[in-house]
Amino acid sequence: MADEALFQFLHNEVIQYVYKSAENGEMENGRCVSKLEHLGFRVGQGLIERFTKDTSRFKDELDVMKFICKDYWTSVFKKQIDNLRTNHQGIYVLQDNKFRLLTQLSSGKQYLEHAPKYLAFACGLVRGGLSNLGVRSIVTAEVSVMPACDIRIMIKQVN
Amino acid sequence: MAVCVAVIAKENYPLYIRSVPTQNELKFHYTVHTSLDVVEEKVSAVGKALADQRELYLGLLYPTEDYKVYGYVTNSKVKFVIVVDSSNTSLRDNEIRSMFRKLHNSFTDVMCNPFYNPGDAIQSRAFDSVVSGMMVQAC
Amino acid sequence: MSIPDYMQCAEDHQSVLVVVQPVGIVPEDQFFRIYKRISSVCQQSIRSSQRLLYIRYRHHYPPENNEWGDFQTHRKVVGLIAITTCASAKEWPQTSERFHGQKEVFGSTLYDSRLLVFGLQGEIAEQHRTDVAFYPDCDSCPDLERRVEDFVESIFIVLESKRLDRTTDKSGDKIPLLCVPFEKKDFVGLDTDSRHYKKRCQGRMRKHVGDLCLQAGMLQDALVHYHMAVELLRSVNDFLWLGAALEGLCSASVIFHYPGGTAGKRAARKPSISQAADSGKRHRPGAQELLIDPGALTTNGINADTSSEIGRAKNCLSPEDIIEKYKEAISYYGKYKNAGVIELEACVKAVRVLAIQKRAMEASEFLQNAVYINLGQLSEEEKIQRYSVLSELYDLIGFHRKSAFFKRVAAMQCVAPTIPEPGWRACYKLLLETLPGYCLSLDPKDFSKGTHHGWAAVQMRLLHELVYASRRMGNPGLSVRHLSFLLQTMLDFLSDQEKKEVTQSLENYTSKCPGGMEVITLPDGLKFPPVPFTKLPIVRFVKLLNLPVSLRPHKVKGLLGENMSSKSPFIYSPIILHNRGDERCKKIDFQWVQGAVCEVQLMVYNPMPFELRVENMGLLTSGAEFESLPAALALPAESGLYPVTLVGVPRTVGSITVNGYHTSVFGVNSDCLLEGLPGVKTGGCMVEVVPSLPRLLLSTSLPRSPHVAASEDISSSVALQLFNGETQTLTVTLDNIGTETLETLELSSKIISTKEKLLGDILNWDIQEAQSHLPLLPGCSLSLTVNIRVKLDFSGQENLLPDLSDDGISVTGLPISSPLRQVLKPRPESKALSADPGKNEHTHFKTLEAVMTFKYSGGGGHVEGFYRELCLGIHVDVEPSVFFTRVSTLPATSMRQCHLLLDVFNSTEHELTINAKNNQDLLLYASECQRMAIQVDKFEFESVCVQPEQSQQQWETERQQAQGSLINSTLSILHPSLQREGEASVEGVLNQLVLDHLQLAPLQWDVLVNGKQCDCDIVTDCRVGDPVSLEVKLTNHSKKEVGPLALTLVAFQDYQNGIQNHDLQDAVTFIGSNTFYIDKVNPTFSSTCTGALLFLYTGDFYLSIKFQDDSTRRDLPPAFFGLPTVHIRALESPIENGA
Repeated sequence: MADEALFQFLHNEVIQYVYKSAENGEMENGRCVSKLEHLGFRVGQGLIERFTKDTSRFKDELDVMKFICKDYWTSVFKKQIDNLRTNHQGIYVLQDNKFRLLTQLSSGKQYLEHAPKYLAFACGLVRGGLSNLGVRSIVTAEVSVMPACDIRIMIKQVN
Repeated sequence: MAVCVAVIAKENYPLYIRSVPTQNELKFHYTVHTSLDVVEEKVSAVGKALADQRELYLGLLYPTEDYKVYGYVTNSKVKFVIVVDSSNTSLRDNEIRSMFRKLHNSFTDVMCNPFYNPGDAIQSRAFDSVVSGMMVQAC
Repeated sequence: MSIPDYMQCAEDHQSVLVVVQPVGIVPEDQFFRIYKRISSVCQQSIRSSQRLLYIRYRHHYPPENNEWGDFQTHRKVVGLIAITTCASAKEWPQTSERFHGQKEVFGSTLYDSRLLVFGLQGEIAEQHRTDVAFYPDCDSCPDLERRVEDFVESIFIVLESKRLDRTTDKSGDKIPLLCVPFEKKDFVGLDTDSRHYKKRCQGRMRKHVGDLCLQAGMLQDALVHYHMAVELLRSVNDFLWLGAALEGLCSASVIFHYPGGTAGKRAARKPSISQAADSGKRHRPGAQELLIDPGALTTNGINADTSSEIGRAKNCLSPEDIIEKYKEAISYYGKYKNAGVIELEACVKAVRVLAIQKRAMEASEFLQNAVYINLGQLSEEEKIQRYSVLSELYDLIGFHRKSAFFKRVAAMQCVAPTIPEPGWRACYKLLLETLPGYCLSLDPKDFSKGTHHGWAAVQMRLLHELVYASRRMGNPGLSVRHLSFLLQTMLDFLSDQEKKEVTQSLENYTSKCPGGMEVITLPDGLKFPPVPFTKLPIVRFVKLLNLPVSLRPHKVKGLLGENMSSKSPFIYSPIILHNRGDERCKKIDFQWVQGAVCEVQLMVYNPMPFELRVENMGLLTSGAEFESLPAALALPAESGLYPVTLVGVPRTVGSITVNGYHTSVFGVNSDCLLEGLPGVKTGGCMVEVVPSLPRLLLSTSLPRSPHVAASEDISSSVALQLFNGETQTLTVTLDNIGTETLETLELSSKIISTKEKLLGDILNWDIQEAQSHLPLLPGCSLSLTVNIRVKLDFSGQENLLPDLSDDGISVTGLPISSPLRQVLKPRPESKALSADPGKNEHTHFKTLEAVMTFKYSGGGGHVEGFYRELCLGIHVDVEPSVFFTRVSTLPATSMRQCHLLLDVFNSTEHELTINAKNNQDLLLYASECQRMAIQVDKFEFESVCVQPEQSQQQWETERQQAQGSLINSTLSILHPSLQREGEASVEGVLNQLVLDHLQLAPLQWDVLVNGKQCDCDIVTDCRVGDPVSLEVKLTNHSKKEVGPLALTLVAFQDYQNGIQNHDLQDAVTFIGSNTFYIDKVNPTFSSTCTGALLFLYTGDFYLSIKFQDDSTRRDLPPAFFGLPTVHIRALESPIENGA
């Protein structure tokens, strides 16, 4: 399990670093989250390239989402998404009841206000991965009780 | 051994194109460009056709008098095109497949390189050397 | 057959071919009008049966194609309609002959023919002939269509008869061998009796019959016949005809499956209703395929037995089978090189079918094949047509890139070297059509955002070709437009060498035809949008500059509200990027003035590897009228962020928005709008223009200052060097150099804060005199005199105090002439020198800076409440002139006056004279110090009114100023050698002790002797023996009550040698008491005590009035109790007579 911890520590430090450098400059809170999200985006693009190297071609959007929930999530967070819901019109909600990056923070409502920082990178990962597969989307995350979180993906339909 | 290798982005512009001999590169540009039609057709046919079409290798796209054009599309919609000489009959399908595999591996490495911005032309020397290894030697 | 008919489709196999030709000379438009009308009869239902006949019309058909009529019956001409004009009956026989001649051409295959004669009237026209129709002229032939229909009917009759003929031809009889032209020689001398041969004949005939059935509208029969033919021909390996039979099968099936036709939108067929109804009946599930024995066919072809009908439906090929069969047929055709055209046409037909089936991959394979079919020597025209058609077909299947490729090939073919007259126009047109295939649109806006679409290398080649073609076409404007487009959109992809080449050729072209911003429209309606050069140079910043300080308009306060710049709301969200558009709408918070030269600064970058010459660069504005003055510049190669200033003059009032700029580069004029340039940063583009204001030029009588102005607001400054206390006049001349009349003028001044203590106003002027010149017309000038007077405090206060106490002279003291007085030495110079050099007062120049601000306005701007400011800086270096190194006071003889002792030090290098009003001049040499004494009146401090807000310190300062000014009015300095004079001020020199001494006591004591006022110098005379009345009056000018007081009079004599004699009991007696008692005196009240003296001897006597020690005395300062000393001279009384 050591490798998991490595990533978590690195992730936490990245967040601290981004916020600390923001304090010295004049960045608002929103910019830090955005920066983290962009980091995740670029990483996601590369990750997807590597993970889909050997898989067969995806049939459709749902296929892509299933891949994200199963293989992608497993490769990064060592577990699958617990629940995938969709309205079949481009909105998908991924539920993870024990999101790895939040388990160390709290198991209830404590530190709830800091949760968005810790989810920004993961959202970027998803968005980057989808983008490289040709799906343009907006990814947001919601947390009501830690460590469960909902990741909401809105696919931008191409007309 | 290929006479031309090209990597095309999902927006259908070239990320990398290299051919031997280099003076007639424009001709290869045209060849690869027109082969995109076939690639797109094949990819869009995936949903309708059978399950075995789901592999990434597309096979022979179309033959011309002098060349044979093969295609391969990754899941990230990046297309690889290899053009080989028609007279080179010794090249088997498996060899072509392995060439594409090597390309894909190398491309994945490029993608994961933090200095590479997705969408830019590929300038990685490692990629260049992989491609050189599979091209016909210039005489 | 050499010319392929690319437009043929599978369903054309069921049509009959009718040729419409002119006989003799027929005007083209007339001919085609008639032709069009005739062609409208393309589908006809036969009266006697439910079948439909399709007719194909051609106005030109090569006779050699006719020879293939046996092979595929739709290729042979079965009907001929000739059109001719005949003016008179004389020409008729000739016309008739010619008609017959033409019939001969197609004679072998013709079923029927008709001649239409226009323009002939008379008895020949009255003839009623079935084969000739006479019409007076082209427009009056209403029954033309009907005639054609009749004609078609007759053709049908012939067709039907032939069909039946052949159908009923049974295998017993000798069946002739049908051949294609090139085969004929192959079958000479063959054994006609072999089974092989007979089968061949049968198969071929069967196929022919199938064709006829198809033409006759009997689809199912045709299918059956074809099937049979296929069987037969396969067994004899008669490949060519086998292919034809297969193709026939495919055609029939296509007709069945695609009633709308396969020709696409071009020739949409109306699906025949009867056929549809038929086909509907036949689709019944569960039916089995059953091949009918041809013997069971009846003459009518339709079997009443429904079961066999069901079977028949399955004779039709399935859509997949169609393609299979086509493939097979084509492969057979491929074996015969003379059948190239047939093969090609078959490929084309198959592709069309595949296009409808949306099987692009296979279609492309067919097309691929088609490209390589060798048709022998094609003419250039044919090649062009072939490639164009290929391109169209690729387009049909959705392979746009391939389509573009072939179109390009066709374009190149148009201008192949072997063509004597290259068709550049056609080439150009074709090239234009290839653009969409290469994702190249000619609108530069599509390229301004985001990543580059399409393949740059290919696109560049294409653009070069477009340029070349348009040049050869003779349209240099187009060449320029295309080349500009290339330069603008492909700049990033051009190598340095290519950039040079492209720009050189562009300059070549534009020397003949300059490029502009208009939309170029081709005759066929295609429009080319203009191409502005937004990258030559690249503009990064656009900044509107404020006017120079002296020309800026200021708004009179009170109307300031509207001019506040509004901040754009900062909308932020982590996903959506900040919208730059807000920046541009920001309003700038300075204004421009109508008629003034205003500047806009652009930061530009030259991306080219050589020097870029930009001519005629100016601004594009909207809103108020703005006259832009163009600039020309040369930017060095690949240089970054070069500032360029564009100027212009606003001509009307209002709001100006800078929309962009225009340039002329390489001979191409571009208008670049800022909104089309997303990378440009700007601090706001909209500026208000205020009405014009007058413009003044300031000049002064004194020379300009070399000093750098304290702030950039100051337009000019003067420097002076003055001695402390000197006054200098400065004449300021204002010239009205603008176009507006000067209407108002105000002047104010400000001392730039300095730590120096200033004594008095430096600057003053008379504005009224200047304002009397207003309004000042343009070209006139006015002048203003300003007096500059400097009075600085050059002394250090702390030096004074100790000396005063050393002095040891009491206030109530002694007259000046008292020998007891010490004469103090002049202040040793060493004292000044011992101070640290920074404070060296002798050589230290003090600098004073002041700014005079002229506010002026006039014209339209004045109406709106604007004004301009001119600032004049005044830099004065002040040299110290005289120092009062020490001040002390001596009491004067009068209680109301005091002697002020000033040690004056001349710190200049010249001699000067100092002169107090009442005294004589004191000459001081350089660096000499002397003491002078002036007599001043003591004065009330309370007369200086106190403002409640002032602090104690301020009050002190005011007091001192007031005092100083009183004293100063008595001092003046002269520098005779320099002809300069000034004033010396004691302000700041007076310290508290001195002031105390100067202060007029608020308790005013008046002593009257014999009714006469006594004071220091006044000697009162009295007579010995006469009583002298004495009155002491106290007036209380202070604010508090004073008293009670007790006074004692003491008489004494002063021997003038320091000894006073108080022992005068026998010389002076007091009448009454010598003690006065004064009760409390309230403020502003006075109290008087009276007494009397008697002098017994003559002599000089002094009376001193002393206070008894009282507690009240300690509350009040001793100065208040300064009583005048009374000097009485007792004189001998005149000797009385008789004593």
